[in-house]
Amino acid sequence: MQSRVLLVEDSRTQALRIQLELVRYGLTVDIASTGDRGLAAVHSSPPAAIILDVDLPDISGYRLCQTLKGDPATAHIPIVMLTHRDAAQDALAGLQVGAEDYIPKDSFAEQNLVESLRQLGVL
Amino acid sequence: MRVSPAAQTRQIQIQNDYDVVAMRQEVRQVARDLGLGLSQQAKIATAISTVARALIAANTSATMGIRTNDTASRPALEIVCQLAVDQLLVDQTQLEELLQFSEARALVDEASLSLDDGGAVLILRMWLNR
Repeated sequence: MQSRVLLVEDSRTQALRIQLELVRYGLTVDIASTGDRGLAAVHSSPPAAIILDVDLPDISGYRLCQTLKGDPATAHIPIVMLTHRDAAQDALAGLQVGAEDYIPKDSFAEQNLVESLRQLGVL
Repeated sequence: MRVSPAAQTRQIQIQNDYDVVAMRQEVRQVARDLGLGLSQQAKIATAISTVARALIAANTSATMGIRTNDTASRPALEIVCQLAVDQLLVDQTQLEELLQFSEARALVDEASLSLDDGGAVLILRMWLNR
């Protein structure tokens, strides 16, 4: 059975590129373009993992991560933050709110994302 | 202190943003190969890119290398950054600010920065689970 992951990303172009990459590895990828839609999607059908951007149009990825990790119904779902923010305080903030991994959007981002999902047992 | 190089590592001269990304990726892969968890991989990679970006912003050339240290009190992955600094112009406090040392130190298990005759050496250390 295919694993399903949820990608919370407001850039349509980036979301489609990541989706195309992960589909190659046999994953089903749902996309939510806002934090609220991502939260609703997690509750309606919990995914095997969440890939979460930080800069979303409604709430921050940090806040959404904190909410999901604070809810016993969703706390077990691994979260990988994938973001342009690569400063030390940003990464620390992401890991402190419970993200399992924090990946900067550089030229190795998709490669690292795949490897991260593999280490999380999703792939 | 005997230091053994980690497999498949190399030294990178930090001169531009591409070098920062390459170094970050190299560190992340070595950390993974040494069995560090995802959050530890993310922390050490971010720490080194923080220092590397600061070096570029300060227009200071440096060489970064990755090694494992199996002979210290605890086995560790170490990132060693060697840079030439003019001691007449830079003291320890100024150097820490220039390299964003406190920000990088917050992400790793241990960090040190020392000035000597030939320049400065910064070491970021993450304990290995051995």
